[in-house]
Formats: sequence, C-alpha cells, structure tokens
Amino acid sequence: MIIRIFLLLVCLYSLPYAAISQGSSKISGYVKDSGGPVSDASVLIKGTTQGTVTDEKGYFEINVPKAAKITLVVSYTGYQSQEITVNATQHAKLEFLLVKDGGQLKDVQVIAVNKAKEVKASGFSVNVVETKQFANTTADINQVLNLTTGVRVREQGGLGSNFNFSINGLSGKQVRFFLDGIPMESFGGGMSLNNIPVNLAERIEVYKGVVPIELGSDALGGAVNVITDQQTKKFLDASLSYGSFNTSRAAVSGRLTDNRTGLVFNVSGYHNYSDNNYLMRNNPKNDAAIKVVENNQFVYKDMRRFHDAYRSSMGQVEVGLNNKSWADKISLGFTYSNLYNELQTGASQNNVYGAAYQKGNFYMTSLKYKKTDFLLKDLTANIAANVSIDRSDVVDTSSYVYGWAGIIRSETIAGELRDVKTLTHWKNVAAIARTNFTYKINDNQNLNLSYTFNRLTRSSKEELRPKEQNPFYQPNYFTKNVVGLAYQHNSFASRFTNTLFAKYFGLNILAREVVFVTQQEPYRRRDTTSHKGYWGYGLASRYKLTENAGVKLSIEHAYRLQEQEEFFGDGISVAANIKLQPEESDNINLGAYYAHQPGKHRFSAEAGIFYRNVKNLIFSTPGGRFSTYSNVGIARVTGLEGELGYRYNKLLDFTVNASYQNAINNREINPLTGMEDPVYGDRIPNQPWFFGNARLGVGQDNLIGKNTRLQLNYSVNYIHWFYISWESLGSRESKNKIPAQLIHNVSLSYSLKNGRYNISVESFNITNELAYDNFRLQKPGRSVFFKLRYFIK
Amino acid sequence: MFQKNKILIFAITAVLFGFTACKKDKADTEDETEPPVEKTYGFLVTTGTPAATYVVQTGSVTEGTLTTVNNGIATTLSVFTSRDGYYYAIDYSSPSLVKFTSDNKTTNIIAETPFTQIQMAGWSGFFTWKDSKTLVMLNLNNNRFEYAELNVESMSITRSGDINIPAPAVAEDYYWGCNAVFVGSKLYIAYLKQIKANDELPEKAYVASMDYPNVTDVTISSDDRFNYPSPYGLFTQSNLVYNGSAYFITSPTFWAIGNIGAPNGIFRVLDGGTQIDDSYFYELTDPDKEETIGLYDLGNGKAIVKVLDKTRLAAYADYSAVNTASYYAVDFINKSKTRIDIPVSRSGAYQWNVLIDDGKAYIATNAGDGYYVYEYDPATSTVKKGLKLEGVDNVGRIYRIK
Repeated sequence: MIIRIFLLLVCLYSLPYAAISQGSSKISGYVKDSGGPVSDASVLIKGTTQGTVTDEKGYFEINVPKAAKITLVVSYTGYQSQEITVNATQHAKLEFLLVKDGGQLKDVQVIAVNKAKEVKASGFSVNVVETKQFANTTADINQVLNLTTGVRVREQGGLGSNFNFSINGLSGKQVRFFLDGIPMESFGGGMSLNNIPVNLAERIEVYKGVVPIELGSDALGGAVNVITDQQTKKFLDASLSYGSFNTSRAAVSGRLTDNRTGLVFNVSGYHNYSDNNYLMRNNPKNDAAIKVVENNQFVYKDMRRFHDAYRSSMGQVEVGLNNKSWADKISLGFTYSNLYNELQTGASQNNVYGAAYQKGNFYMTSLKYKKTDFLLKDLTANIAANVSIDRSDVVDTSSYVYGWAGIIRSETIAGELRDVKTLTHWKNVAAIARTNFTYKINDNQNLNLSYTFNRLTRSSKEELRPKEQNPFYQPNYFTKNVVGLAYQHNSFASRFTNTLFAKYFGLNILAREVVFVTQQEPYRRRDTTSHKGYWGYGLASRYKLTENAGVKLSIEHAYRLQEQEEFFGDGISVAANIKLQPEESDNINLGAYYAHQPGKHRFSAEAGIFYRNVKNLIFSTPGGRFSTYSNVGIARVTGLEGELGYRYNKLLDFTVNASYQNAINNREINPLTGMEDPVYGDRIPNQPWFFGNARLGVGQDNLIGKNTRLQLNYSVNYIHWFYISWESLGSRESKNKIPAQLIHNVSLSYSLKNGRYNISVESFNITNELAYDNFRLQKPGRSVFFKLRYFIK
Repeated sequence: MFQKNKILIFAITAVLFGFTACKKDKADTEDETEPPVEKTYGFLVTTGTPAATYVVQTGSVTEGTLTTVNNGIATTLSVFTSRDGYYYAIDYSSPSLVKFTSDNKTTNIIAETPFTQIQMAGWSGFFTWKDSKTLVMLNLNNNRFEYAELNVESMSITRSGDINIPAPAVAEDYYWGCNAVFVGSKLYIAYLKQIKANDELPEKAYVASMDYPNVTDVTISSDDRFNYPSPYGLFTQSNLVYNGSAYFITSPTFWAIGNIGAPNGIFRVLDGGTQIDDSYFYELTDPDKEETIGLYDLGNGKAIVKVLDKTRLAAYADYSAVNTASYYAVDFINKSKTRIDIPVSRSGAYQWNVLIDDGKAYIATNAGDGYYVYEYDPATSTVKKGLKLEGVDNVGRIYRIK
C-alpha cells in the first residue's frame, strides 16, 4: 500500500513538472575555481533577495523575469565575488571562474554566503547540519543531531519512543523545538524530532544556551530549529524504506512554482511504522535482568518486545504566491498528522505494559507572509501564524498485569500507567503568531523586533472518573507572550559583529484547579489566574580574524517559564505551588572556528567552552499527601567541545568531535529542609558527561556508470559511562551506572542520473552492542534498512 | 463505588516515601540476663533531589554519626519489614518478594519470589507476622479482602485467597483496610467502611476476627464510638498485643480524611475474643486541636504515640515542613499520657520512626537542625540525644537488624 502511494505521488508530481513556464527565462551555469566545481556558492540577482546556491557540481539554475537585463552576483567565502550582466530573454548558460581573495580581506565584497555557513559564522554558539548529506539514510532528525557536538538524545526504545534532548547539559523542558521558527510545543506526538524524516529538512540549527530573538520562546538550555527548503523553486524528493522490526518509512516533499503567476504549491508528508519488536537481552551485569515467571519461579532469559507498535503519519499542503508587490511570499497551508503508539515499558524495562497505548490526530492551518521594504524601505516583515487542534487519547484500561512472558494476573483497580484505570481524551487548541521585523539602518546596523504569541487551551474528558475530579473538564488557558528586540552592529569592515538583545517573557495562566479538601467537601473547584513577566537579555559577538577564522562570544540571561501543571498541580497527586518561579540561567559560550582549503583539501576546526549557572531548577518534591513542584535546584555546568573536519574534494569526508560537560549541584542548603545539602558539589547524576562521534564518508562519482555515485558512510558514537544516582551518596560498590556504549553505523548508497535515483542499505548498531541511554531501558540491537529515493529539482 | 481517587493519592504518596513496616520491635521480648551482643540497626532514609531511598546501617543508635555519604545502598525496592537479620521488600515492577541483607556496601539478595497472588499496593496493603517464620500479607481489592502467607525461610507462598468478609451491602460504599494483628492464632483485621450516602464519611470502625488459617469463619464486630482505625498498614505501627488482648489506635488525620472531628484514641478486643470491648476507649486528645499517629509497644501496658498539633497544619506540605510532632508515653491501661521531652519536630508523611529495643524507645526526629535519634527510657522517664543522621531528608523506618 505504501509503495502504491509512493508511486502515485511520484507520477502525479512528475506530470506538472514537465511543463515549462512561459513567463520567465531560465539562466543556468557553473561556478568553478582552479580546483573544480564550487558548491554552495551564492548566485543573486543584484538588487534583490532572489537567488540560489550552487549544487555539488557547481551548477545553478535561476528563473528570472523575461523583462530585461539583469546582473548576477556570484560570491563565496574566501573568493572574490563576480558580477555579470545578461539578457534575460535568452536561456543563458554561464560559467564563472572564482578567484581566491588571497587573504586580501579588505578587497573582498562578501555579498552572501551559503546560509548554513552564514549561521555558523554568527556570534551564536550553534550547530548547523545540512541534511543533504543524510538524505539517502533512514535517519530521523534526532539521529542526525545525535552526531553533533554538545547534543545528546537519549531514547527510551525504538522508532517513536520517548526521548530526552540535551544541549550542553540542559535538557527536557529546558530545550525548545521549532519548525521553520514556529514553536513545536503544541504540534502533537505525530510531529516530533523522533519521527520527522531527515529528507523533509534542509538544515537544522541547534542553538546552545543563547538563542536569537526570532525564536520567540523560553529556551533555557537552547533551541533546535528545523528548517525546510524555502528557496528551491521546483523539486521532488520521495523515498521509501523498509527494514528490521517490520519498520517502514515513506517520505515525500516537493514544490512547484509557476513563475508567471507566482503561484507556489508545496506538498510534504511522511508515514512511519514499526513493530519495534526487538530483542530484550537479559543483562544482570548491569542490573537489567529480564525476568520471566515459569513454574512460579523466576527464569532469566532474552525476550522479544510484544506491545510496542508505533505509527505516525503527516501530510502537509501549502499554496502560496511569490514575488508580488505586496508580498515576497505569502502562503496558506494545512497540516494533518496522526499517531498510534503502543506502550511497552514504564520508566524501567521491569515495568512491562501489555495493553496501554496512546493515539492522536493533529490538524493545523498556517499562514506565512514575508515582505521586504514593508511599509518602509529596508524594513523586512516575516509573519507566521497557525491555529491547531490536537486530539489525543491515553488508554490505560488493562484488566491485567503484564510481564515479559505476557499476562501475570488480573487487576481490577490499577491501570498500567497509573494506579487507577484511566481513559483520557485530551484536546489541545493552540494559536501561535510570530512576527519578526528587521530594519536595516545602514550596511552596518540592523534592528530586529520579534513578537511571539503562543496560546494553548487544554481540556480533557476522563471517562472513568467523575468530572468534578478532573481539573481539565473545562478548558485551561496558557498564554506566552515573548517580545524580543535585537540590535546588530558590524564594524571593522564587518569583521566584528555584535548583536545585543533583550527579551520579555509574559505568562498568563487560567487554571481550573481541583483541590481535595476534606471528606465532607471532597473536591473544591477553583479558577486561578496568574500573570507573570520576566526580562532576559544577552549578547552575541563574532570577530573574524581572517575570512576563514574567527572567535565568538555569546551570553544570555535565559528563562524557562513554569508550566501549567507545575503551577497548579493536576488535582490528583500534584498540589499547586503558586510561589513557583521560572528556572533561570546565565549562559556563556566562547568559541573559535577555523578553516583552511589548500587545493582540493579542506581542513576545518571548531572549538568552544561554555558555562551555565542555573537557578530555581524545578523538581517534583514530596510534601505529604500531594507532591508539589518547587524551585529547589541550583546547578553549574561547565564544559568544552570541539570538532575537526577534513575533506578531500568529493572523495573523502571525515569529521570527529567530542564533548565534555561537568554539571554539578551548586546548592549548599536544601531549601525544603533548611539543612546542608550532602551532595553539594556532586556531578548531576543520570546525565552523560563525556561523549563523541566520528564520521567517515568515502564516495566516488562515475565508478559504476556515467552520472552515478557510490558512497560509503560510517559513523561511530561513544558515550562514557555515568552514574544514575548521586555520586557521593551510598556506597560506591552499590551504585548503578549506565555502561559506556560504542555504536557503529554503516550505510552504502548508490545514486544514478546525478542523484535522481538512489538506493541505499544501512545498518545501525552493526556490532549489536547492548546499549542503554537510560537505566533499565534497553535500546534496539542491530538493525538493517533498505531505502529507495527519487529526487529531482 | 470504589474510591479510586483516594487510592491514587495513597499510592503516589506511598511511592514517594517508600514502603516501610515491621513488627520487629514488638516481636522481640529480650531476656534481660543475656550478655550484651553486637547490635546492628538499619535505617530506611530518603535524601537527595530528586529523592532516592537508601538503606544505611549502624552499630549504635545512642551515639555517633550515621551518614549516607559514601555509605549505604540506594534501593528501588519497597522495603516494608525486617526480622531476624533480613529485610523483606516488594519489587512492584516484577512483581516479586525480595529477602535481602545489607552491609552498607552491597545488597545480598537471599531470595526473590514471584508475587502475583495479591496486589498489596501501598494504598491497599498491610501485613502482620504470625510467627518468626510466617509473614501474612493482606490486601483490600475492590471491597474484597485477600491474603497471602509467606514462609520466610523457603520464601514461598504457602497460602493465599480471599477472606470471608462480605462486601458492603450498598454497592457505592467501600471498605478501607487498615491494619492486622495476631493474638496467638487469632487474626484480627481492623477496617472501616465509608458511606456514600453520608458524604463518604465512615460511620463506625470494624474488627474482623478469625481463627487463622480458617479465613472463611469470620466474626465481625463494629463500634460507632469511633470510626477511623489507623489506615497506614504498611507505614506505621498501629496496634499491639498486651496480656492476650489486641489494642488498636484510631487516626482520623487531616491528612487522610480531612478535619472530621472523629476521636483519636485506643480501643481493644479482650482476651482473644471476637468483639470490640464496649467498656473501653481511651480518647487521647481533643480532635479539633491534635491528631495521633502510631502505637508503639513499650511493654507493661505502655506505648509511644506521636501527637501532631493540628492547628499548625494548614496544608499537606506542612506535615514535612512544620514542627508539629510531639511524642507521648501512653499508659493505655490507666489512661494517662506523659509528653516525652524531645523538641517538637516535623512529622514526615509516612514514618515508622520509633523503635522499641530492650525496653527503651528510640525516636528519630528532625526539629529543623537535622535528624537525631533520641533514647527514651520509660523506667526513668529520661531522654538522651543520641545518633546523628547526616545527609538525610526523611527517616522512613528504623529496624533492629541484629
């Protein structure tokens, strides 16, 4: 069925692609230097923002109005830019030969560089991953980011499993996710970093500790922004994979642009399915035994997972207009996603579930608008808004208790997830509006104003409990207003760039609190509102020592706002704490980068050190009958990370990176007990603190036929062992730890017709390492996947 | 209709505090002529943020310091009793019963037995020792009382099934199982029934008695002078046996049921009989001002009772944060009580923090300056400040291990 859908999409999309637009001309050509093709060079129509970048062969195509002569500006970091004026009525084919600037920086006019390189060269501490190098793999975005510096994604299981994303030692709610700058908090489980195929993204930016104001959210530890291709006018990327654990993944994305009318059609979607029935291996050595009851005795043996199927689907269509006098771009889109997720284990693989599951449907309409010279010359407006409904059910009605061998006994009261059976229908309605205005004061000064409105209305119906006990029986509201203002100043011929910014976080909550009072008055409903405001601020600076080397400094006083449940409890087991403050942190990054490109060789190096001083960390704390969330944590994180790269033309690409982070408990007195904290100065437990990755790619063009490429990729991922509980509490002999893991992944891909047709085979964890990201939550063993991909642009 | 919400509240709180229970202290009646032996005491404590439970041991509770720093064993097991040198715990995730010892460095698991006969969850389970080899675990499952008998030597379940206590006649009413005790072979189960038509308030207390192991022939006695036998079966000692009679405490705490004004006191079943003694009830305090938790057998007709100043408990969190707890030596025969001279301290939510050993009481309390063990000698009514506990946020249990 998936194959048929896939072929249908390919056929449908290929038909209009054959049509040639009549209202414009196409100019194409190659950009080279003395060593051969130059990829990622910028080709711009002078005086506009319209342009493109060259591909791996240095090739570009650009559609231009038939009207008149235009001037193309070709530029690339480290090279002198070139301009050429052509007559657009001809289908011109051009060739540019770029000349290195020879270090004469003052003579170089850098008009535009590849966006990824531009972001990397900003003052922010950021990983930028261009996903085209992973396009033939079956990886999702989490797996790709897991290979980058400072990032650890700890997964609880196989495809679609829960994950914890950590950036430089801060994780969970302290990291925020964005899709094209839109906060993903309300996107539902069907759209997440653990299921979005890498093909759907053009690049991914990971901001560490200090986050630009455009991403308007309370990101204490950092932010991940997944960016889809917004530039290519026509393309189709469709893929299908199948492999271990009955896992299939299909993805399609494409765009069709009519130059005459400016109409743009976007389509994208994916479908993931897996049984996730991988083998759970008995591992008493790491206190992770798999116990099965046979003849009323425990038997220790390997068992296969049996209730972990996962399915997620997403479809998105978007219709837009480009290049109108009133809008550079405007589009209206609709997104639907669907989720079905069986739950196999609780917080430990000893808690086996056999019936609980969750499912959901997500609907979203979105509007995007972009305009340069908006109202004023040099004022650019970038506005996006969406409204979404996320309906999800959590079904925990099992009549049985399960173990790895199946049913253990019947159970009349408790569910598997909670201590009573529950069947909860959640409804989240979210409205998000993000506006960003950039005003270019002059060539060296920019002003940027950003405002994000994020309102979530959350309600639920619990079928197995009286509505009086359900705080979400009537909608609860949660509104964040985030305003950011940034001033950027360039000096010393743009070698020294400073961005000063301030952010305001406004928080409004209306909660329908349910309080258990007395037996005579068991449940008191109480509507509580809260209005809070906090100021954050920061700086991002970069100084270019040479065109290919620079140093960076970024600083932010950041916040992570309190969440609704943390404030008001859940009416069942969590009590309100209206004194709760947001988590706050002073974050500092200092980094340097360097690149050197003699001939066909390219060496690169990046290194950074970071500091986080986090206060008011929120933990759930016991307090009698109810637990409450309290500001009881203080932590200090210091660390360093670095990456080295070497590339030889298109033949060989090697990268190695390592990250070390020392997160310690910086709390001397426990505010709850008033006593000295016995673990003051201890490393924060249950958190990786040393890890690294290496990647090697070897590829050759035209090895097996003309216009083909054979590519072999290998990656290895190492995580040092770490304790799961406080280092200085309890005897050393009794401490459990997550063992070190060394995971090897290999992929081989073969591309025909210049990458139009691709076939690949890939194996994750090829040595079948017994790996755990979390205590007693084993990850999948070796898996093998095949992938077919069709790509044209 | 079973009160699921209440169950849930208890369950979650139970998880937070760990399960602790034991009758060790009343099982031992030491011969005073025995020579001094090397002693071992075990503490079940919580510490750290997020909180974790540790088992730590020491040779003395009258002096010195016991710390969790580089000492003791973190455990995810729900330890609920100890006897003759062994800890007994439930591993709810398996589920299994675990018998183990500790030496402050490692856990030595003696036996692990699948435990599927009854649930014995934190909110619905309780237990009692029949003798030094027989641990009887009980559970209230949807108005059905069930039990499982464990032979702790073979670590095998030797009996299990339902106890013949009829379900409430009104389907919406529900039982709350409280605590159990053996007098010889007579098993007593104290419980209450919450009445839906009466705003879910309990109207009276019940005691079911049976000649164990005959759990089908059950006699039920009730008394409406009080209505709330202490329901913390896994977490607090709530009964004792004196001169062949069973004594039970009532604990209608704000924390459990709200401020309903029900009496806090001690009732009994005389001489292995089947009826609550309607001539006896010792009301310990004014229920509008104070509430009582725990009944620890000092011997000679005396017991230790923890009394909380209810006027200082404005919120549930105050149980752990505000100094409200005083300890009294109670003469439940002559109906008198004497406040023990230790600082008013925090109560904690689930604390079996009193150990009776060699006729003396050892009470672990925290008045805001950290945990100390106070020794109370009933013979002289004197108090000594003893062992200091460092790196401890809450003491869940004290055991005499050896």
